[in-house]
Amino acid sequence: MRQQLHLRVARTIAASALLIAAIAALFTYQRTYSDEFFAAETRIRQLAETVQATAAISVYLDNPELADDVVKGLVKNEIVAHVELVSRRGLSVSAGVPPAAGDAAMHAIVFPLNSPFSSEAGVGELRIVPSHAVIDGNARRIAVGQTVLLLGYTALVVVLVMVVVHRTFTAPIKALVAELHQITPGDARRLHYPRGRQHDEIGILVGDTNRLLDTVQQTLDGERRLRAHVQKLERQYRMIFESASAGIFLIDGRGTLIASNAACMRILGTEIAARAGRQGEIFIEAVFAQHDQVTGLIGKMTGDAQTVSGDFALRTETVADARWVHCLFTKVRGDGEEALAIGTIVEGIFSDITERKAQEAQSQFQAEHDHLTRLLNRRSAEQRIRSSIERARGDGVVLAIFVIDLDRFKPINDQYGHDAGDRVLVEIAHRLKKALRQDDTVARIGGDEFLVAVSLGEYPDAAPSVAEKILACFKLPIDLPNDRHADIGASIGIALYPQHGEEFELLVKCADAAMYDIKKTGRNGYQVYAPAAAHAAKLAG
Amino acid sequence: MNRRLLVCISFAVLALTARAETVVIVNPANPVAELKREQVIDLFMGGQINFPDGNPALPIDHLPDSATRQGYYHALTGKTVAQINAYWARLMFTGRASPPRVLRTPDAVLKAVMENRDAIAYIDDAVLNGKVKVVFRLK
Repeated sequence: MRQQLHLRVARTIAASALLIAAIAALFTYQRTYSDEFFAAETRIRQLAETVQATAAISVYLDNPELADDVVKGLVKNEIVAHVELVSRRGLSVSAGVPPAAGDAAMHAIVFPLNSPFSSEAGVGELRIVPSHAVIDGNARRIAVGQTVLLLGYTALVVVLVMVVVHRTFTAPIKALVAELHQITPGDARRLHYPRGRQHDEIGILVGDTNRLLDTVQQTLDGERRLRAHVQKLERQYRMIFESASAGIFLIDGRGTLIASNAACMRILGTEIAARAGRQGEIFIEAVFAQHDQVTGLIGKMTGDAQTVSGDFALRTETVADARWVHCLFTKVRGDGEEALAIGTIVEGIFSDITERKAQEAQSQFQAEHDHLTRLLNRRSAEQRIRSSIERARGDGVVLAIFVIDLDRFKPINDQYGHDAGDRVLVEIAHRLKKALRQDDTVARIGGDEFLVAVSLGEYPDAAPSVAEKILACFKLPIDLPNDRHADIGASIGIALYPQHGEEFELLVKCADAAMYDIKKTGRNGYQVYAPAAAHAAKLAG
Repeated sequence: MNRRLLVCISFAVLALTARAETVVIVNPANPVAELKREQVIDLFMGGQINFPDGNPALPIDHLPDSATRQGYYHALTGKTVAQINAYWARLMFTGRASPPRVLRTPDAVLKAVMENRDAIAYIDDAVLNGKVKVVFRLK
């Protein structure tokens, strides 16, 4: 410690004491001097009184011997510098050193002398000049003595104060400082009370410091525990985040990727992951095939903690390796300042549903299609044709409905077995599909009955040519196992929307009627529904 | 002040008891007609050796134990004979002053004044005769 406290206190006290002592000494000297001067005058008065009788006689008689006796006796006193005895009649006797002419400080003290025998005054005067040097010397000696005494006393007090201050104040403080210096914040060590100082300021200082150290230790311990807890939580969350099987990503308000886990990139695949990870890339656009739809969905979320979800295709190069994910979007917002700092954040959690999607597609296909021929079944055909009618109604075009019944099919079944029959049906389905356009409807609605719907545009007269095309499918014999062939034909009934009806049921009924007509008349041909013919047929039947 | 008061009282007491006045006398040929108290003191105590007219004075005294002398000095200066003697004793060694001459009887004193032109003395007025001149009367 560079600044020793008790020495500083001592220095200050000593300096103050010296100043006070100096002022006191000056004052003492001046007072002693004036006292001494007063004392000298008193002494001189006493001396004068002692010799007054003799002096009076000497001036009364103008007796120089007697006067000489008086002045010589007086001048023997060291405080008397000069004595002069004068009589009324001119006698003047003196002794000692006369004062300098200009020395006004030491003027003579004058004693008037009376006659020894009467009250008659003024027979002479005794003039005594006090010794300035002697009085001054005396005063100085006494003043110096007193000053030295005062200084000695002051020094003693300073030393005593120093010792007391050191013992009661600086020494315990120094000890405490040294002790406190050894303590690192947070450890269990505490200050010790100096002996017998529990209840004064030093004790209070120690107590308060210890309480402060307690608080610091508690705070540090608490923070250590909290930090450990937070680290543990962080490890857990990181583990959850990293090892989750679901892909997790965070994007900011502009759509830029903030964070993602390993599963995210694994599910996206290297190609998409590389694209999504590029600088400045909008994550949604890089990842999803229908990104407009996804962006719209996210935009619809209002308020906090809202969640939207959906199945979305990933943006793959080809339709063949299409992959699907189910993705759950949640708007995340931080609290308070955090919210301002990070703005809106969208969290996405997704899992790969390609397999499920495929299964779904397959089961839907199975539900909508005929097992054997993989053509649409009756129910789904009905649905599709109903919507085709709606479309035709909107576009103002003609839709042709063909009901096809196979001729000579039953014998094949009977003759060659069901496998052969199935084979024929599959082949016919194949040929029909091939012969018709992609968006025409081809369905198997019964054992050997098919339904076809074809849009004719604005040309209702085109129906026969379509019927011819269909009939052409049956011309070539169908190969069967064991080098056999099946030779079958078809009866086709045709109904037109909107000429013959506007409802699916009615149109099919009309086409059916036309088909029965042709079956009756000659087989392997087609017939467009004619109301009269139908009526005739009914009448004939 | 006190001292003076004491002197007055003593004087009054003496005057009452003695009933006799002391007078200062000189030779009738002496031109001095009257003297003041201070002049008398000066002539008897050595303070003045000449009469006011400049002639030398010869003071004459009574015996030290005479009642007249005691009363005279006491009335004149307020001091006892012993004090007066001490005064003279102090001056003797200087050789400058001497006390008045002493004559043995009041008659001798009176005779000396009558015969000596410069003499000056004091006597009870009871023994006074017309051959001396009274210049001061102690009351």
